[in-house]
Amino acid sequence: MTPLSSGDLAQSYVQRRANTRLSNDLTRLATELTTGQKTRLGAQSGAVAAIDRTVQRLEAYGPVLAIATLEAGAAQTALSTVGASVDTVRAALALAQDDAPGIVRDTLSRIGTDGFRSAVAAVNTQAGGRSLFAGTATDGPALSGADRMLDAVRAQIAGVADPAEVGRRIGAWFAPGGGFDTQGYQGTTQSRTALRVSADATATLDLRADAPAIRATLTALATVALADSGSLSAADSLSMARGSLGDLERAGRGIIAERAAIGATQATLEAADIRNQTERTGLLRAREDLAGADPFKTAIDLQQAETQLQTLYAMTARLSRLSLADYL
Amino acid sequence: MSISSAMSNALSGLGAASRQAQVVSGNIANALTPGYGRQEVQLSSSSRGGVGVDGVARRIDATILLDRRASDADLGGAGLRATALDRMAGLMDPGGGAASLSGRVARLQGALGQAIATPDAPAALNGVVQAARELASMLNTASKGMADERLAADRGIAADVEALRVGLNRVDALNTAILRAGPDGNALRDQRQAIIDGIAAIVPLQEVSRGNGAVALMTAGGQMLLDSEPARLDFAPSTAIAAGAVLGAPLSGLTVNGRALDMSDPSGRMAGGTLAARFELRDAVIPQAQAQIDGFARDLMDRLADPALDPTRAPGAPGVFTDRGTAFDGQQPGLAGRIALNAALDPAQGGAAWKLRDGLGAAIPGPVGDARNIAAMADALSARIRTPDDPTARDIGGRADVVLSSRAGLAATAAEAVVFSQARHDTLRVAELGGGVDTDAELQTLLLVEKAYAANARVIQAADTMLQRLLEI
Repeated sequence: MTPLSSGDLAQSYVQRRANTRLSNDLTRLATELTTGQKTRLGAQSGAVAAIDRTVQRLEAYGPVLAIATLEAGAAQTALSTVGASVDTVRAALALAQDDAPGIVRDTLSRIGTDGFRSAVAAVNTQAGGRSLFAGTATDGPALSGADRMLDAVRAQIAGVADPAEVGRRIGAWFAPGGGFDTQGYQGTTQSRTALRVSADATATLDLRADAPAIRATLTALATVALADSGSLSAADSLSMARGSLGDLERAGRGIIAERAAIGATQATLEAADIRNQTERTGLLRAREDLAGADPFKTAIDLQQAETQLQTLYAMTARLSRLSLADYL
Repeated sequence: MSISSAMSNALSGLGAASRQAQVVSGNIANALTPGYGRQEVQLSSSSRGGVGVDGVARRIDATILLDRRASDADLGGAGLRATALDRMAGLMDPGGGAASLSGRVARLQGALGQAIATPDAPAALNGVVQAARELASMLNTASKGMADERLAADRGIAADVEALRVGLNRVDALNTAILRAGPDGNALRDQRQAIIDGIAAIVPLQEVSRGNGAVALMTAGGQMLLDSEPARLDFAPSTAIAAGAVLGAPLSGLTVNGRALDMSDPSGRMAGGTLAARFELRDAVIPQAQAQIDGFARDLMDRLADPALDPTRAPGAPGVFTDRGTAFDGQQPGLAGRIALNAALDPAQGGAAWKLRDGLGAAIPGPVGDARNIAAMADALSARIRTPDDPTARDIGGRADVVLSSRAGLAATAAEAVVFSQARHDTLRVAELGGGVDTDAELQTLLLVEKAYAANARVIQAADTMLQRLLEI
């Protein structure tokens, strides 16, 4: 038999459930509106977590790129200073005249010494507190003092009268296996490792002060600087100094080649930075699509939920007033 | 004599009306009592003349009650599952992007990248140590949380079994009482219904009426729990659950009347309800989650314990992450709870962060710019390799993502199941409550009763007047 009446508790149960549901919806929508993020992600939260992780990785490349850019820039500047010293000495040599060879020789030797000192100082540059060209011993200078090195070489060529022998001994001192390895170069023979600057790019700044290009530059500059040492005659030492023009030119080209390598690294760093930024922007946009709460839609839903709740309150009040007991 | 029979008819009418008034008042008084069966007086015309009260019937729709109890059990089980899965997902992802497992992995990798750029900076090396420590600590916390959930499930089973036992005993006692009470047993019947409702969430129950008002209780899967005497339920709770514990070794199963039941069968005899859900959590769901994070911990540890990474390490010595101080001891269950940062790297435990750069076995610091070890570690973490648990080649970040997304997916599915279950439960509950007391209908009945009472009283008055007249002759 179909029931002719409906129990009191049924209506109140329905109203209570509706009240709970609407209040929960209201709270959820209010949170979504203020934070701009969906609160119930469900199965999407795995994808969102993956995006967050990748964005975090990309942002971590920022400081590394900054350090690498700083060091690459400082290395470029240092090498350009070395190149400038070489050019200065070359210019001086080219302009030297033959008359009064003693005075010319002394002048050239002074210019050469200045150039050597300036090159050594440039190679000893530090960026961010780290030596650039000392290999893995970044806490100390790459080369020992310019004057110390020149004195060591001077000791090697003391009393030698043959210009060819002098040139050979200077070359031997700066060559691998000579005194430069122990008394000149102060760093380690291990280059620095490559830095990871984006998901698939690395940047290497592994030029050391004992590289062939630097050795050749220092040899050529030292030859000019030590023109007034040894037991050479003024004319011999002048011709020896002039003869090192070719070496200076080759050294200069070597420096330019190293600068080009660093320039390529700088280009890699720039490209990595752009790539990271682009990828980050794209990922953040994808995250917005997945987990972002559209403010307009959320505001509309919030208003609707509010209206529904108010209607429910009105209905509850009305229905509870409907009772036969009031009329008896 | 016809006048006296008229009077006796009217008296029977008065009796019926007052009985109806009593029943109506009882109904209105219990209008808000959940589980109260609306009572109706059953009248029939008596053979001796007048009206006879056959009895007071208790109106309960048995079909809706059965369905509602089944949905109680369904909702209970679904709710338990959803809460547990949600809590375990929360262990891996407490709500912030950077605090999740993936976030901490990303932080470790970022710190390594920074340390490669500035291996001479103690801040950079300490950053790596800190990130590694936090990753290990998160795994430890998650493992402990899951172990706690497992123990809670075991305790819940013990509580459910006890509640079931108590409930069955009380229903048995009430069966006897109802038998003795006879026609006045409606209040006892209400009580019995309430007790059965109390245990309905544990396992889906069917009420089978036996003669004389007694009921037998059977589960939807066909296990007889109460039939003239309650079934014997046995379960031995565990005091602590170790990482590799499984059903039978040493976790206890459920025994009914001396026979062990397979609680993992979804169509089993005691399936569908919080009891089966708790068994599922303890024996399948939580161990699977534990195995997943143990697998992740193993991958993390193995990548950084590769002998090719650190030439200063003695063979067999642990890497950056240790298994409670030593190398991996071969027991993967519970590894996530035991993984720790190597004490040689932790300044707080007498170690030094520069060993990250110079090797765990190094006695003194080496060249401060040498980042080869650190670079090798970073490469080991970003290498895409396969593990026994995961045939797809992934880097450590991808592994973390898999853990997070699978946990989140399971929690989401369980939450959806709860929504569906709740909707069904609501519909059935409303239908059940609809069969309860409607005060308006009771008041209408009261109006009729009042009228009938007045009419019968008038008849008595009239018959009395007629007799008086007779006696005055």
